[in-house]
Amino acid sequence: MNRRDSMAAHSKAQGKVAGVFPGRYPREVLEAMGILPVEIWDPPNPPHKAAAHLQPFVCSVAQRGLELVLQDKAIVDMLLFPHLCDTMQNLFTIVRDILGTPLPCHTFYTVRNQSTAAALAYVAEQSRALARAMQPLAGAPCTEERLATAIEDARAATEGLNGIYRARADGRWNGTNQAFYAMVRQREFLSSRALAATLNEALRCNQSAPQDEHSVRLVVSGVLPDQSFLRLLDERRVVVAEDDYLACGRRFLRASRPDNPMPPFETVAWEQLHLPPCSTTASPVEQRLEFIVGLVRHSRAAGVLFHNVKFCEPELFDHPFLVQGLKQLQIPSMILESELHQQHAGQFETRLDAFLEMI
Amino acid sequence: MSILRRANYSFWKDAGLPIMLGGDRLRRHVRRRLRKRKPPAWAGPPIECGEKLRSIMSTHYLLAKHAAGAMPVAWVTSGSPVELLRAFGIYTVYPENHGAVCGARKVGVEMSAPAERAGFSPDLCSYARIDIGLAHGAQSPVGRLPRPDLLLCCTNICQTVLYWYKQLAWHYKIPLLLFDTPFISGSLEEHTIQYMAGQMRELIQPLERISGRTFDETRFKEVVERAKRTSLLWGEVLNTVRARPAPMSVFDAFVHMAPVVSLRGLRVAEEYYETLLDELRERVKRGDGALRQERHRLLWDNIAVWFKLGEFSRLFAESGALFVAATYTNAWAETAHLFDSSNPFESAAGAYGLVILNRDLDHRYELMKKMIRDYSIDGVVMHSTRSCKPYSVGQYGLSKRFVDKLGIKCLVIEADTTDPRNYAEGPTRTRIEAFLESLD
Repeated sequence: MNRRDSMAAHSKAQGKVAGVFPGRYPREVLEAMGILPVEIWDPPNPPHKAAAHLQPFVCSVAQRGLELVLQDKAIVDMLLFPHLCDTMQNLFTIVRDILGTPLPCHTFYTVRNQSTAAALAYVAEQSRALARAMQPLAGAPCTEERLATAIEDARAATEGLNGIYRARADGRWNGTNQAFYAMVRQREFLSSRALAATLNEALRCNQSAPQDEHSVRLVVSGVLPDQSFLRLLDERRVVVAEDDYLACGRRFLRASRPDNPMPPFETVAWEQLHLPPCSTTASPVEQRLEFIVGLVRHSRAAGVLFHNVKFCEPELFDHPFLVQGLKQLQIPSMILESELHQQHAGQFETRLDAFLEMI
Repeated sequence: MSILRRANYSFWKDAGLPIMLGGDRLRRHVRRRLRKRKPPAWAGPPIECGEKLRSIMSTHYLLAKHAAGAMPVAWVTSGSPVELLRAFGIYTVYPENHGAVCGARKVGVEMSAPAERAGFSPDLCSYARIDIGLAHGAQSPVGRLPRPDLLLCCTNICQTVLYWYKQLAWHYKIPLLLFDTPFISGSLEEHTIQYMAGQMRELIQPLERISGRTFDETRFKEVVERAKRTSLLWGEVLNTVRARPAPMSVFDAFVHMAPVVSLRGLRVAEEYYETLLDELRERVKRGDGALRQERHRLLWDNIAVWFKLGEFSRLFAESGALFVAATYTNAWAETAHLFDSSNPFESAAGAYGLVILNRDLDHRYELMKKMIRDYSIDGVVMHSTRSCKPYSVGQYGLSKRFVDKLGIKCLVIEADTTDPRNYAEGPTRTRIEAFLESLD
């Protein structure tokens, strides 16, 4: 099912659709209220009108997201802006206050002080406040029962993601990188229940397929898997064995959950606070390095590619340390930078080829 | 912390630096008399407090070098709850202030170079690059800053400071204490206050460990009260500029704001603003303006273009245009009234959480609209700086709103706080000249 079909099917069933800008948010709360989160990471339209609102030094994720809103192509019932970074913070207020969009606009703050005792209560309360704010649109409150069900659905989807990532890391997955991410990124527009079913079916069908023995296995880190970049990797028989993508691998729980049960909103908060380390949550650089090295080790990857979206400040700050840390562990790495949906220049491909030859 | 180091610090604080700076003041005075340089024709009488300010800030920077080893030294972000550190006798240094000094001395590019060689992108905040450059061996024009024992970061001005301080924590292998202030897009809700207050209370334990002192709530409340008075005094200083002619310009204010940023909570800052306020009130009485002929009054939005401070000041002044207000200088006075020493933790959540950069653009528009009215503003200049996304992203829309709704002239210039590589002299000058012509 594609994005448009998913939205149409949900709307037909009298459900509401939320356009969700990049970041971390309590999707269980939205789903419990019958709202389908449809994420806006890399819309295809190049920015034209957005240039009147955003400086050229703003990343293409924000530029393209705003373009979608300005072209009235975001056919949704509300907009949610997780507080991913300074740019997304201001994008929220540009859309709500400057453009004055008629759609309800909400923001969800990403806690940076994740280790503080006050964080869990804050995230839980913030989730409750978001639920209250969405109630007029949803037409009903977010009851604990419905939230508990949504949490179970989301957990099933998380299990599916963990399963498919494990299969790929273990070499039990055969398929192109483009196909893998086309499937995984259905999370951006399918309900958790539908996603779990899709992933489980894909895993069942793909398990026995042999993997190309001559491929190069790499871990890729960055904001999101860009199709044109994945095509380059596929052409070179590079298998992305694991990823540290902000949009993918850093957004589902990989740790085990606590044994003692918590109330539903606290459960949602706990899971938010225990997602993999990320530049945008200001995880200590040591934690990020440990996570990436763990991905390299368990997937038996030969190196790490950092593919950054130009002007992404949180990512840029972490790169020097991560590269240095990997070097000390004798894990080869390289940084590549481009805009979204950009036709990669020869220099980009040459750098990639040089890295592949080196490893 | 060694006794010898403490004795050395006390010596320099009470005797060494006053003598040294006294001699320096005398030398500068003699040099000025000998040079007999005439002030520009457009300039009003100079602000006499400038000499006192120079002495205070020189003492602060020079003393910082002697503080290392005598007491814990903290590097802090400009919007941090520094009152808590003062209660533990911790010496505070503001790398952002240092970045501004480097920018004003036009060494931003040289200072950033070691950071860029270490792999930090030139697209990153130039204050951060200067500071990381310093950690990687760049030579500061004010000498080396003392090595920090801890870092205190508050996210109310941007998330960038956190990414930046994270790198410093790793580089210096020291603790990073964080005060996370959620973005406020409407009213400040109770759970947000509790999150912020809870974090502040949690800071006490590590600060006790680092400083070797027990938390003294009475002392903390005194510091909070003094910080509040200092910030309110700074607000009064800015209010004097509502008079016509304005007794000082925003370019002066950019310089005179240093104590409220760096020394807030200390008696020296409070005393300084009492003196400055008296002088400015006298100037208002006498009709002494920053310009001899004040024709247009302008509002500045964003951090200064530090490496162009003098040139911009002249360029505008020669046309009789004076910047009388700035959202940047106002930020250190805007929420001061929210401090309540009887309820220091919860009130600090409001005072630190509700600052301009932590709020939505509707708030910024309303604030600027009020400033336009209060300061009788004829035009707005917005500095779109590559180094500060929370300040800059949204300025295009705000600018259009000012023109459409208030009919006020508005100019957006693209530059940077300290990195001249992100600044194009010719086009910027042309745009400024066209803007000035449009005011006539």
